[in-house]
Amino acid sequence: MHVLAPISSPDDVVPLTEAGADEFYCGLLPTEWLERYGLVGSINRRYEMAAQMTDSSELARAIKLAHDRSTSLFVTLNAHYYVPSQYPFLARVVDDIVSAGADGLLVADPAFMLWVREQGHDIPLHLSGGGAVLNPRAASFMWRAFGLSRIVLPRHLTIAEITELVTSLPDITFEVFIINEPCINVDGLCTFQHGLTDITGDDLNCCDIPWNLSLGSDDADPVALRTIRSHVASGRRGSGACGACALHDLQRAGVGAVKVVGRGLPIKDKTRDVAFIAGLVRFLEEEGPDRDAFITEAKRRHAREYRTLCKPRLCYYPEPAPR
Amino acid sequence: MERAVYVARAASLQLAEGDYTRLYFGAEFCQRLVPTTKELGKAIDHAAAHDMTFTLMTPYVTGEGLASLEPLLDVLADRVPDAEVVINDWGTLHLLEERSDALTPVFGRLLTKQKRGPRAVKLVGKVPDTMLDPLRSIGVTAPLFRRFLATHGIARMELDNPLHGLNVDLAAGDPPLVGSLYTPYAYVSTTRMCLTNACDRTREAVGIRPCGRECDRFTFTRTHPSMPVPLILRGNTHFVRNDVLPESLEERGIDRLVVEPEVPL
Repeated sequence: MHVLAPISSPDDVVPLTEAGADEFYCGLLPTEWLERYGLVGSINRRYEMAAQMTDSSELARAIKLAHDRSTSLFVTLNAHYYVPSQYPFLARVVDDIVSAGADGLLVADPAFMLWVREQGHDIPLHLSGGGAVLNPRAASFMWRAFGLSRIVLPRHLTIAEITELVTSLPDITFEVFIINEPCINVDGLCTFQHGLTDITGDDLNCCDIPWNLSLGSDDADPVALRTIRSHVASGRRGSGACGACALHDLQRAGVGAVKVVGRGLPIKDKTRDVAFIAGLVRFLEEEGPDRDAFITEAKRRHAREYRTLCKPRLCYYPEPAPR
Repeated sequence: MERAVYVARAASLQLAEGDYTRLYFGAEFCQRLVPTTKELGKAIDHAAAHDMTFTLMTPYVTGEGLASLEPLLDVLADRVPDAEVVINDWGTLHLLEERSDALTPVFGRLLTKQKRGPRAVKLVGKVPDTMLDPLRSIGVTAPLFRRFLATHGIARMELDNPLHGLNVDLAAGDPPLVGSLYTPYAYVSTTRMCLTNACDRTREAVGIRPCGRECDRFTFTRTHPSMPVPLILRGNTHFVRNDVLPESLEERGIDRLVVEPEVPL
């Protein structure tokens, strides 16, 4: 099981390789695109510059560093959609990425996937979580129709559902999220606008807003209001979100890669997260613990590394270890 | 302009009366709300009694949810063989293609990926059109994708009416598409971690949990100073209301209005 790590600079590659990353992903937001479409129209669904490289020479350097260490690097072009007028710009971006030697593209827009192939690029395509594949038929259809090499499953599947998907399609490589940045909404089915801060001053995404809540009918139920407020307030975002306990189940199911989220995080945090996850994957693969022993060890290491107990509201996959 | 009416539940069929020529029926956002075959039969009867053609709504689905659609497709293919089926999950299209029915797939609004977040309206007048236009448009009108849809028997696309504007021309392109516009409710976001779940009981962490059908009883409004309009939360899905229809719809290939007499969940 590979550990996929986020980078935002070539300088991230060496420390994260040493921390145990097997492969990398990053975003390239060229200045030309930024000037024309703004962060609100991000080419890769990250809306902060800290998560981006802006120059293809930076990307090429990161790829060389990754390849020198026998690891792979994939580039995100995973906007939910691109409109036809953007394709001339996209053509230059894709050419730059391919020329730089990237090992694959993370994509979400079916029209774009078809276009990449029509352009003659045979670069591997990984369907991002934005593809919202929730069942085996969808995986099978998209794999075939769009010539995919990997499918990243969305955050909103249980371990049982992931297992059903992965075991029923052994020829498809699946990847799942394992740590950081959960969201209450299904990425591929969410149309809230992000990236507004610089224009409107709205610095909270819709999933983070402290909403005022009222019942749509007159028969206001104070219990319902109070309880749903606490649901909403508890949210699903924030640091500490983790699914490490599920690694044993995910490996048994046949998941091919686990993704450490956080392109925009400081390298110190990325290194800690990658080391934590990669260490557990090594423990799993080298020592073959049974499920209970693995979960106990995962929790022990989590407490040691993050100096906090697991939080149920931030558990990616609650089933393996209800907490 | 064809006028269709959309009700998600059999209990709301009495709202589907009036000057409508087509009935949309079924769950679009939650596989736990997929109607029973009996409820579907009732809706088919209602459509026939009111001289309406029929469209079955389907939601995004897990493997379990997809299996729950199969009996409905059996009934539909038997009783209304020329019915439409709105697909909001690629797996449902796969299932439809494997069957030998004459049911017509329609590209659902969860697949068109329009931006609908109401705060985007605050960009109007503040950013150049080059920045705003992509947010008013969609990507699946690209020529290559039109041909892809045609090979899968899809000629109709379902659209929402976002507050920040709609810049979609389905008619201009080869092959041409036609579209349906939903009014007045646009969906904004949906989740399997239903916020309404257990909302009248205990404080539990949000998650994928057994359903108590709380959405039968509760609809919430969420407001915030940064939001230009209230969000409506019903069940697992947020909606926004927009009563202003765009102009020149038919010139752009939008030949059907899908009227939602209530929040469609």
